[in-house]
Amino acid sequence: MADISLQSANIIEFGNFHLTNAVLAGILETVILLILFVWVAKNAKLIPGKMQQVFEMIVGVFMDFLVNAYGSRKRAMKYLPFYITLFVFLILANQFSIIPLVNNIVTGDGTLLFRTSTADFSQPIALAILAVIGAHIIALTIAPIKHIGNFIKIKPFLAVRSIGDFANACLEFFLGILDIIGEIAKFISISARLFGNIFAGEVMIVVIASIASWSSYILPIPFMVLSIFSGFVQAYVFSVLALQFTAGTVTSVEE
Amino acid sequence: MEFESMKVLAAGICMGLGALGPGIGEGLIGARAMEAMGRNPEVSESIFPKMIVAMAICESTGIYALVISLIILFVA
Repeated sequence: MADISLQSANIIEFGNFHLTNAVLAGILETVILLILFVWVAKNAKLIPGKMQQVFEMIVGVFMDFLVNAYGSRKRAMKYLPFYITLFVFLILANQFSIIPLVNNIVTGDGTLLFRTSTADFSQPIALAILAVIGAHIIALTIAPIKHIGNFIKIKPFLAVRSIGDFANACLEFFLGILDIIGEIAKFISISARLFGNIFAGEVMIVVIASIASWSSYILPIPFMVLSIFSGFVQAYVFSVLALQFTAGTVTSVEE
Repeated sequence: MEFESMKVLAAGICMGLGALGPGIGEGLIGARAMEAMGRNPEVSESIFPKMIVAMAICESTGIYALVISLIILFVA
């Protein structure tokens, strides 16, 4: 069986810091996206050229969804930059090993120089931490006491008039504590979904290609198509779920 | 039994049982979507992307089982 490993191979190590090939791919994608966006924004005209039309289409599609989630266009514009960056970054990152020459560049001892960055578990969990903790920080900057009060519910205790009310207040307090555990589950769920889909796509192609010596020519094609499609869908699902977390916390704090 | 064979068996059972739920769930999603598209063909191109997103979310428990079985095979 060819080499399938959950760990990415180290390219450079200085002391305790390891630069793996997934991190290198992530840095390369960031640089490509930066150059692309800055170039399109500088040459923006009133009658758009082709590149600008593509970006306007992406922004338009995503904006509909944001307005649906947040209710008003003004609030959606405030939160647009973060989520659309996540979306476009994930579209590029999930497809990185389909780009023609990327899987053939090898270093000195035969390891690949670039690896799909979302196929290493550290990338999805970093993005998930960013999304979930970002949602809480935004809610805390708007109204801190109310946000904490949504999780640790002390108010029902202050309005107790009878034994039934007291039992109700205890139940609400316990449910608030359960909500905190639910927030922890959010990290695992969005990161595991993204990682599992992309890594499973790569493992499938390696397994199919190593069944027999002739099976690496036409047979992997349906699996590659499936992997490309699932890369687009997972990018969309990840950014839309991250957006729903923020929308949920912000609307429950701003009412 | 030795440790290696237990590992392989565990990974197989984990993924096998974990694939039952999403199979049933996605079939139900597809069936209701087909029914809705059949009743009202004009909205069918608005239902289809939503069906794809719902299927991606429904698949996630199967993916959790896959991640656990990959961890059993390659890390532990």
